[in-house]
Amino acid sequence: MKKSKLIPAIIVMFLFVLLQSTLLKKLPSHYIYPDIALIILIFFSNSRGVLEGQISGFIIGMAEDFLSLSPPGFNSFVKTIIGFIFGNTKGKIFLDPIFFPMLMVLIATLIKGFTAAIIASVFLSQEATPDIFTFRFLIELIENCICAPFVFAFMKLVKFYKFEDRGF
Amino acid sequence: MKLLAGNNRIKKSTLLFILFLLINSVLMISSDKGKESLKISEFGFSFLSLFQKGFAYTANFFIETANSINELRKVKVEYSKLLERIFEYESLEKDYLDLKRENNELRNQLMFGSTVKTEKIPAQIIGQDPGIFYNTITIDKGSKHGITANMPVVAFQEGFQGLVGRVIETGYSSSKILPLYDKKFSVSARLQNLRHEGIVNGTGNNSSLITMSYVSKNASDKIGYGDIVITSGLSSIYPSGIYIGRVRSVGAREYEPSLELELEPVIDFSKLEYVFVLKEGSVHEKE
Repeated sequence: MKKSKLIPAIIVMFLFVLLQSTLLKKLPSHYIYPDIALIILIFFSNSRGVLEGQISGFIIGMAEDFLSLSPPGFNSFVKTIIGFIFGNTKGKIFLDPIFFPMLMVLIATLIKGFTAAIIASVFLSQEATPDIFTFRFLIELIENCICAPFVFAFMKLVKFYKFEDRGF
Repeated sequence: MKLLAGNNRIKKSTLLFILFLLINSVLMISSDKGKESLKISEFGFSFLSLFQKGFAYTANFFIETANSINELRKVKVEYSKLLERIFEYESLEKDYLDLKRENNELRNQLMFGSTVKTEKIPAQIIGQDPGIFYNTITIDKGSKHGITANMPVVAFQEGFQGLVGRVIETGYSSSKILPLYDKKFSVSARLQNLRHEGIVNGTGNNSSLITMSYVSKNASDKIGYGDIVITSGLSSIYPSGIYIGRVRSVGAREYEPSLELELEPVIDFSKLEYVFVLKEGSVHEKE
């Protein structure tokens, strides 16, 4: 019987959201740090599929919205789309240790930026619209790509997400 | 059969995807109009910030324990320095009391009947915005401690009471602060010595300078590097006299009727741990 890993995955992602909002902020990096919860979401969606990917994206995005000044639904919208897209890559990508994790995270971070820019211009008033494509975004993009192979390797190492139902 | 089951699965996930996007859209639209989603947000924030608080306290405990040996060495050196400063302050205290008494007498003579007392609610910073698109500071005090939206927040650093921001949302035991460096932040300000007024705005990044605009061009020759900018008290939220920043550059364009100054905030946000929320207290009538 296939066991759902949804709840443990959401807990792990939420722990990283807490880490990002507390401990990582103490690092001397001008408050720019990798979005580890996003990297885990990509890994999880890619290994578990569309359904679990988008549910975890929706929930973890909503948690970020509650802890952030962003309007409720903003991060959730972005992460639901990312969960959906990378859930569709299940079984279609051979995950090598370095190149594909970096490429997937690069694409996901760009999707995050573009989706945030589009939904901000469609749904939010001018006062509530944040600046998306800033220097901070560029730094986060680079940091995400650098961290991706390590986070993917760690996830494989702890065998938190098993691959037997990947279908290839 | 297998294909049919596969199609159902695709339909189910696609429908769920559309449903999630719809929920998010409704929440965003209603939040932009300042309606019901704010309650959901408040509830969610109150609940999740409990975990944030627990995480921050635990992390701080371990960090402080690890740093305690090094801290002890520093404390010994600082102790001897502080002893010397106490002797200085003891003599200053007498002068201060004399001046305070004299000030009260002069206020009475000038018929300045009342002063508004502000209560300072101390709070610890437990978190910041988890993303990069918004700037938030989360503190460990909320509505149960008497904090409401729009209360000003200050901190003490290197002897200055500097402006940190204002409370923008409160949960039961935690609150979100809009920091001074956020683009949406603005405060009426004046140059402490020259008394020229202007509006201070954030630039969106905690490590960059903030701007003061609409400063009269008459002041262009008199403004100097390092001049202090304080709150003017003209807005209804912030009391007057709170330090905001120091002038770092003056921008004067010929075609513009006013100056734009770049300021370095008095508060170093990378070192900020504790803040005070200013709660307007009762009005004290002077005799």
